[in-house]
Amino acid sequence: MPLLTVEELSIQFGGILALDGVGFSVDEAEIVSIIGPNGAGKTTVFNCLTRVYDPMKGSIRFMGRDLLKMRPHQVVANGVARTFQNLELFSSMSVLDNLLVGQHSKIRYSALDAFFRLPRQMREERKARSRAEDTLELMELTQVRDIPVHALSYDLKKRVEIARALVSRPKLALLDEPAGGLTHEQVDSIARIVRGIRDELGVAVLLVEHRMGLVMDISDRVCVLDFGRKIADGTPTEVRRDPAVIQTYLGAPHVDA
Amino acid sequence: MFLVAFPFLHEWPFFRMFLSEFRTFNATMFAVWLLVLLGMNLLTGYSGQVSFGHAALVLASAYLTAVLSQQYGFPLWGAIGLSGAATALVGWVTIGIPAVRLRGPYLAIATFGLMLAFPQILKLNVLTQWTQGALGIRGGVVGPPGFLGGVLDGRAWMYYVAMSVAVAMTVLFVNLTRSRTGRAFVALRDSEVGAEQMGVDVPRYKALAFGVSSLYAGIGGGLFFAVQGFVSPDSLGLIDSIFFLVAIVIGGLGSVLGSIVAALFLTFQSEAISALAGFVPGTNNLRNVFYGASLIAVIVLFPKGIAGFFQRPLWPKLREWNLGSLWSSRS
Ligand SMILES: Nc1ncnc2c1ncn2[C@@H]1O[C@H](COP(=O)(O)OP(=O)(O)OP(=O)(O)O)[C@@H](O)[C@H]1O
Ligand SMILES: [Mg+2]
Repeated sequence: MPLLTVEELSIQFGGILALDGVGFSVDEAEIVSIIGPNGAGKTTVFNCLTRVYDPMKGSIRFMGRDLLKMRPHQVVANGVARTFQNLELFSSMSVLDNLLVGQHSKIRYSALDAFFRLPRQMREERKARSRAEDTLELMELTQVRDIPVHALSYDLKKRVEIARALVSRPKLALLDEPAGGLTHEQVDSIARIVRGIRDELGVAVLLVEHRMGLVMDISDRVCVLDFGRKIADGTPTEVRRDPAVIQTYLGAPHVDA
Repeated sequence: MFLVAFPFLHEWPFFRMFLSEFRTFNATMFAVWLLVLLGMNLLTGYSGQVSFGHAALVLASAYLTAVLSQQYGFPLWGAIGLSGAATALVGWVTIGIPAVRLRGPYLAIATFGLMLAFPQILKLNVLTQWTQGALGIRGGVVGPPGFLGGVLDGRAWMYYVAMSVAVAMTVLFVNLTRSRTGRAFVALRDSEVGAEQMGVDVPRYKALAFGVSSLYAGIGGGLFFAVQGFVSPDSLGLIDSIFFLVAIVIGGLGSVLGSIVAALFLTFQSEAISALAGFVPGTNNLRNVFYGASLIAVIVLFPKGIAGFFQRPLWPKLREWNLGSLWSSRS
């Protein structure tokens, strides 16, 4: 059984169908990419999965659970973590603190434990810190751990986004354009990171990306959206040969990279 | 050490030159304002919710303390504790939870409305039985317990109580802000959707920030009554709410040091402005001009508050080292 199964997902914004009966699945430790032109509905899929949006219809099952029954803040505790296309970092906080907030649902103590620094608080904080340190090291961010995020360069911010999602040790990571706005070298490093997420951490990845080189290089499967509909689905090779996909992308500016 | 010795300093020859007993009262009020402003800063500086109603919370708690201690015979310190807890509950449940739906200017307007209404409510005839209407409530004389009677006068005793409470609650405050809870407050201020998607139950934490903030306002309010020995509907009003906001912005949003500076500001502002106006003869009726000009100057010179200016961390230096290169140079 797949890790994530999405069926018949539909959502409307002011009369426009942003998603129209979209379905796909992600298996354990698999990299699945969602591609499509601007406004195709890729980010909207993420927002439905993590309950920011309420789909009109459709079902989302993750590890046997119905994600649609959850409130937005409960999704991450169930093993689905995400990044944002337009960075939603806690910019006044240090990189380390961002990673501690990323573990909010993993850290178990109450406001009272916090007030009085009870032993439970100290213990949980120590564990959380060591998990954060591990992730910082993995993501090569240790040197900037105490720097407020707003002071980081764009590519480092992008990396903190990924680290903040991974630190909760999810089963599925949703990465929304992790290579968006990066240079070629930085894109290579993203490719390495995403592969590492799958191969070393055993985490499945649902990737939204415009950089075709990256997508075709690292994806196990690719799902193509256009105007809210799925027009193709398959291995990178299959998708590349798909007439509908070729038509959609003919002359489109992103195909090159 | 300094805090402990403070009430006696003015008795020493050296300090007598510039300290009077009145300074002990100043220091006591500083402790009261510190509590109130820590609460205000938690709400506005940390969790990003603006309130124009904090003086109403302080006033409500001062009244509750007055009624409990003067009319129902509660011991004063017990009455303060109870009032603090009650204010926290009111702030959490009846203000914080509805406020979750309001954002930015809308929350400001709602709390502003509360602030306008509250002093008038205190004057309502149906409540006069408890509130004594516009006359207000006078407290009894508060002295130290018997065994300290020979050592401390009432004023020094009050100083010790207020300052101990303020110090203890500052420590608790620091604990809270350095915890999962405190981080969640700042996170939802920086990015609400980011916080929510990282697992923070945003509405719940917004309401909780109101609750904790109200606890500090409430304890501050109870002590306010104890220190002043009097409370009336006009003791605190809209202008005080605005001053609370001004104080934490000037002191420094989202910082404990900022709250301390803010409390100093609130304690000494009128005196400082009088002194300033006193330098130039014949300008006494221009006090507000001096005041306004100083506020503008501080905001321009210290955009992150006075505490922000002194707490500048190392990062501007680090940025110069071009951390961006870390990314591509490694493989
Ligand atoms: N909150 C919203 N309110 C109104 N319309 C929305 C909202 N969110 C998305 N849309 C619309 O839904 C469509 C899909 O948007 P979405 O952000 O999912 O596109 P995308 O595939 O992620 O595009 P891009 O590649 O530019 O990021 C667009 O037409 C967008 O304007
Ligand atoms: Mg998008």
